[in-house]
Amino acid sequence: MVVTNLLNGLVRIMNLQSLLVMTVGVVVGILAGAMPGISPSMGVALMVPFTFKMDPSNALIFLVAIYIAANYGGAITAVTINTPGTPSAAVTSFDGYPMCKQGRAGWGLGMSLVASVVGGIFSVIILIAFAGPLAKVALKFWPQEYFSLAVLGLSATASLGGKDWLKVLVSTLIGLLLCTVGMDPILGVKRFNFNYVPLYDGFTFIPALIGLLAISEVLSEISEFNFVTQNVTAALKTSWPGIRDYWKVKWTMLRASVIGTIVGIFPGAGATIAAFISYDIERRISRTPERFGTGIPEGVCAGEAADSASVGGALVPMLTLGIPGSATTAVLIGALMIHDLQPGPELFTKHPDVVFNLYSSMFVANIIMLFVGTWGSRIWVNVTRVRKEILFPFIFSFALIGSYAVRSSMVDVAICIGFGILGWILRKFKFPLPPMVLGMVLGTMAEVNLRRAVMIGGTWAVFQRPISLVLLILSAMSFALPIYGEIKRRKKKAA
Amino acid sequence: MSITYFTEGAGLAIMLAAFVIATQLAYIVTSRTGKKTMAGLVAISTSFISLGIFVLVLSANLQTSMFNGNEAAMIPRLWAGLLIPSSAFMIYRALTGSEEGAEPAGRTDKVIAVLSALIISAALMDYLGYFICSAAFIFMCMYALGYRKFLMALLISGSWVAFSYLVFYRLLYVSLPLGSIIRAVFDI
Repeated sequence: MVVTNLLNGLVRIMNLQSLLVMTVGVVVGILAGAMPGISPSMGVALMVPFTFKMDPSNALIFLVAIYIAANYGGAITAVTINTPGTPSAAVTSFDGYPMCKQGRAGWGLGMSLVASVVGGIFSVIILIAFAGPLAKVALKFWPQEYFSLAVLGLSATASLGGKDWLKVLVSTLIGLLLCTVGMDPILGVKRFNFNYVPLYDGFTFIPALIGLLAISEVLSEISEFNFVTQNVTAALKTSWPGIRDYWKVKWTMLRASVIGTIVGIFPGAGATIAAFISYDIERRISRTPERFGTGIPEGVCAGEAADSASVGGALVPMLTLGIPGSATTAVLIGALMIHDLQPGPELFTKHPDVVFNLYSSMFVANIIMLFVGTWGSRIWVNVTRVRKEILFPFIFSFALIGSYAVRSSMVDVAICIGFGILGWILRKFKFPLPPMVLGMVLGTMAEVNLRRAVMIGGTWAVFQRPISLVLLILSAMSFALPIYGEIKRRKKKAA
Repeated sequence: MSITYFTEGAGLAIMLAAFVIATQLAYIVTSRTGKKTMAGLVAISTSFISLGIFVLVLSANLQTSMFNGNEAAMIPRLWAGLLIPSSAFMIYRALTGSEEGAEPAGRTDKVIAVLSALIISAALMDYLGYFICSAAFIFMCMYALGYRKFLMALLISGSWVAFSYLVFYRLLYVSLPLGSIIRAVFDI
């Protein structure tokens, strides 16, 4: 059944328009990933306005292709100039850049590309295997379970905040509070909009996200004012590995793909943590751990395969439960909503064609990335030559036009700028922004389901259903973990 | 005086002014007590406490159409109720040295220059239209960031206008504002 649907999806996307959309998505993603200062989430957020006129399926295919390719794009500059284009590519630079210094940049790029493709395809297989059954289970969930799931999604980010758990909590609560502006979703009561009509539906999500993810990032870079460009083309005139060389690191790629997918599934974990965990495990099980960091293929593959595999993993909770696993999937949820698609189990029952088109496209996008990446490495790396004095005004312009395009409203432009300034201030004080984004995404889900649960079963309804209770206990544990860690650290310090 | 006095008009203005003063005071007091690096964090945490109180006060005025145990104010009160103690704890941690202070200020002048250009161009968009404003913004932004090749800057600004016209206006049918002045002059 799944295979038939998948093949049908493949047939549906094998047309010129969809292939073009995927190829453009891959190219844009690689460029965005390769350009230090543009994260995958920022790249996807800036490209959302381009999808408004597309049909929902192609829009999703385009944005996911950018997401996939951006995670690989970061490796190009990590290998060639030791400047990871994305945070998750930092791990790739540990061995990729030493390879480049040894005159083997082609090896670093080749290994990272193939590892990305292997990790990406593996994670799609896992996504297909788990998403359907998980969505079927989720269809049986009551509001209690949905509320608890939202809480789990939010608390998972706190557990990953480490010693910054309090800032993560505050950031999340700000996101949740901002989500309460506008019409109350159950009773239709106006809240905190001061009778200002454009705010009746609250803050428009996409402009707010563009402001938080793109404008604030660029403002931070401007305040650092370190605009250095580098010449890198000389490093690329080297040989690339052969099929036998790739075959030698097959187990590393496979292990990293498994780790990346699993870590990606957990809300808030994301590509960076996946890459670091994978690299660390690979080094621990290696017979020659001392060679890690000196320019070995295993080091490049461990980080890069996990990085790319986290994409498919992050899509599992997003598609099946409507819970974003990362800032990028939060943007994808916003984009889906613009196209009247509600992520969650109903997506599988109401729009199975969109889901299976997406699955098929992820396979194809990875294959396209293999060709585009091989063919274009010498070209993509030149994006680092673009001067930031030129790049930043363009990012601002894209952000403004993207915000305006949502409702053809200057209010949305103001929202984008306002959230950009807020994000910049919060960054200054080291408040992480992804929890705030997750709060804004999950706020409505948490509110609607908590209130429905209270209506159904009274004040303590969320503690009365076993799955809901288990999820809440898990949430409490994941929230308590960093607090416990801090207490332990303090005791150690005092002793 | 009922709490609803602060939910609109003069009462609302008084409450907002009180929050601004509280945030300023938090900054000044912390700066003068030998914790200068934490002054910003204390001030921002104070503003979060203010936000929480603001939400709690405003929620008093929400229509209370209670239905089977829930009302519109329930969730805002819950989040605000969690935000206030969390932010207060943040202040405590900042003052006891458990939190990191702000990043170095950096080139705030550049940020302000770029933001000013951005806000001015966005504000004028309804009058001068998107194309003129965005071209002017790109030029001004490049200048503010230190780019001094004026001819190239003009060329880049013009290219952006051409690109946005062809891609957004023509291809994607984004109804970019043409501007009331341009409309009047060209009788569009």
